[in-house]
Amino acid sequence: MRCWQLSCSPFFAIGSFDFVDSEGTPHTGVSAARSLVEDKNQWRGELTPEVISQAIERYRDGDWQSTYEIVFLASKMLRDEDGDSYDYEVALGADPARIGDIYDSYQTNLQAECEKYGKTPEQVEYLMGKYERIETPFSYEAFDTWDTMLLYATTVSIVLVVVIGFLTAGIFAEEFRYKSDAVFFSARYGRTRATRAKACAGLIVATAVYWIGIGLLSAVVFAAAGVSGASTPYQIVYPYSIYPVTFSQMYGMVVLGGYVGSLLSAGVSMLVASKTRSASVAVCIPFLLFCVSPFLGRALPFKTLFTLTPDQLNNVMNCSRIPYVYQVGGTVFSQIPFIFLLYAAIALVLVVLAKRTFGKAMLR
Amino acid sequence: MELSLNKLTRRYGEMVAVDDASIVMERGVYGLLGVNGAGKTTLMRMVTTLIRPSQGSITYDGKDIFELGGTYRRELGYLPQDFGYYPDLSVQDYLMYIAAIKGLREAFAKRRTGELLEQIGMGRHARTKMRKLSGGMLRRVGIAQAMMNDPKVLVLDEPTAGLDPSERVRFRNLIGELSEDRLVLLSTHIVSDIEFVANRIVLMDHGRLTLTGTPEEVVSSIGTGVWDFVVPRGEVNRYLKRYLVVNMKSGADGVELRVLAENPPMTGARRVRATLEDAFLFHFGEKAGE
Repeated sequence: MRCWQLSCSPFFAIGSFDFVDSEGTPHTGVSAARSLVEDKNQWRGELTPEVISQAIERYRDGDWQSTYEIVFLASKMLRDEDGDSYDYEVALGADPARIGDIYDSYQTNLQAECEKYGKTPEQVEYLMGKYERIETPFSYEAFDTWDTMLLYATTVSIVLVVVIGFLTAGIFAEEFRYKSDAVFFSARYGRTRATRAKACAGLIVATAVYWIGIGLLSAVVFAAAGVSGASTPYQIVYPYSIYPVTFSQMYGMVVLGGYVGSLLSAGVSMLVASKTRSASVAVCIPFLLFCVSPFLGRALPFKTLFTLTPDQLNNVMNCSRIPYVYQVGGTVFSQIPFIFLLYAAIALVLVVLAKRTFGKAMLR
Repeated sequence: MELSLNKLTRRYGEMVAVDDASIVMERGVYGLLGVNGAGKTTLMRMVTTLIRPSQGSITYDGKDIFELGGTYRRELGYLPQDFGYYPDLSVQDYLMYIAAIKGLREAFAKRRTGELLEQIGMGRHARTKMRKLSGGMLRRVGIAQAMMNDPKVLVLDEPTAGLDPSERVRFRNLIGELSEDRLVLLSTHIVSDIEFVANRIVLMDHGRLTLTGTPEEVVSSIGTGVWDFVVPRGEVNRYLKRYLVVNMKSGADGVELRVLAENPPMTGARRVRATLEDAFLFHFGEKAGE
């Protein structure tokens, strides 16, 4: 079932593009993706207040397809200081002078964002430093392929993480399952090099399966739908994101998060398998970590804690929207790089522990 | 080469599986004989570093085998009683895998695999999947994997368990062939497995090594006579209750009994030469049939 979903995911991604032509006829698929990008790319270039005004005007005239992203961006940039939710059409009612000062309003709102999420002066300063790296006026290029792929890469990486947990669970547990442990451990390298080779095999399986899966998805979709928008700043959709990156860089972050998740899944799975000597138990743990903990996070009151749980590795796109920052002493850091480093380190420690546990196993 | 068990004890909670076992073994075939549950497998698992002893030590040429680790295991070949394998590997691939974890170079391993497959009569089955092999064939592959590194210490735990008589004979002959210039420790509860191949026999009972000696010494340890006589069928039960009966054979004249007893059980009973099976029954009594 999972293989079926995985192999079909590029086609689902390509099929998700919708385009309505000048005669009002809807299209989907590869041609829709290409046409949509072509239509939107009439706005390619810097989104100066004048360009934004023109786009708003065109939206009012009924050309919503090529302009709605710019209108929504303008609305988000103009939002009230303490507004948590956006009125996506506020820009349509804004007078020309307000649109003219749109980047000033945006700067004011960024300042407010710093004060809202920065709980200490260090955190405020950290957030301001991040926001200062955002280049304005924004440079626009149609980014539909990347936007779609952020969603699909997230979904596929969750499936891959569970699949990898399943595949790696057997690496240590199979020796016990087949009762080949006695021969294995009585061999010269059974407790040393061969065990190390098994741990490396786990990492290789996790790496190969993940990158082949994500690589195929990316290659098929980008080859079919194009790579327009690779350099478009991610702030065009999430202006208050503290990660000043382009769409292609954000895609890289999503994919990298999935890879760290895959390594963690392999590490957890192998450690549990070498402890319990059962693959059945081992495959459940990555599933619980990556698929069940998000629901717990919503139900339980420890919100900060649940912003650091392993499932966040497969939730990078959502993590990037909210400026979560943490502080230890005078050091402030943001969520995404922290969980990447934390779980990459934990994954490697788990693999080492799995190797040691297995290497020291005594027969029962 | 000397493998020495020094006051070796292994406990599982209250249960003592191996109790203060001491023996020094050198080159030759050692037949570890004991009934099921005597502690043979636990002893062998300690000798193969799969279980640590609760007390005591095992030394190889004077050095602790657990400290020697891979250096000792380089000299070790082991065929466990419950021989596990990878069902989807072919015989050749399985042996190459074992060669890899034994640290053998690929070219040498390929040559050795070919030689061993011929020696065990499995040359034609090199490409057969392990799961398709019969019990006897699996045991033969088991001995091949144990021999892969040409071990100085070869440990075979109940190698003939579950084999039919012809396979058992074949296996015994194979062990005889392979036992040259090495220490072979072979555990069994079937006397005929070791009767003709063992240089020394070690009897194990309740975790203790109760007797060690050549087959002749073990046979002569019987402190009683062995008698052969024929009784009417109706009297068999009386003899069964009173004596240790080694063998019964029905004939036209009645039932021929082979009995261990100090004095002739009946007039006309013929004293016969004792065998290892008689000694086994003498030492293990009623448990011998378990």
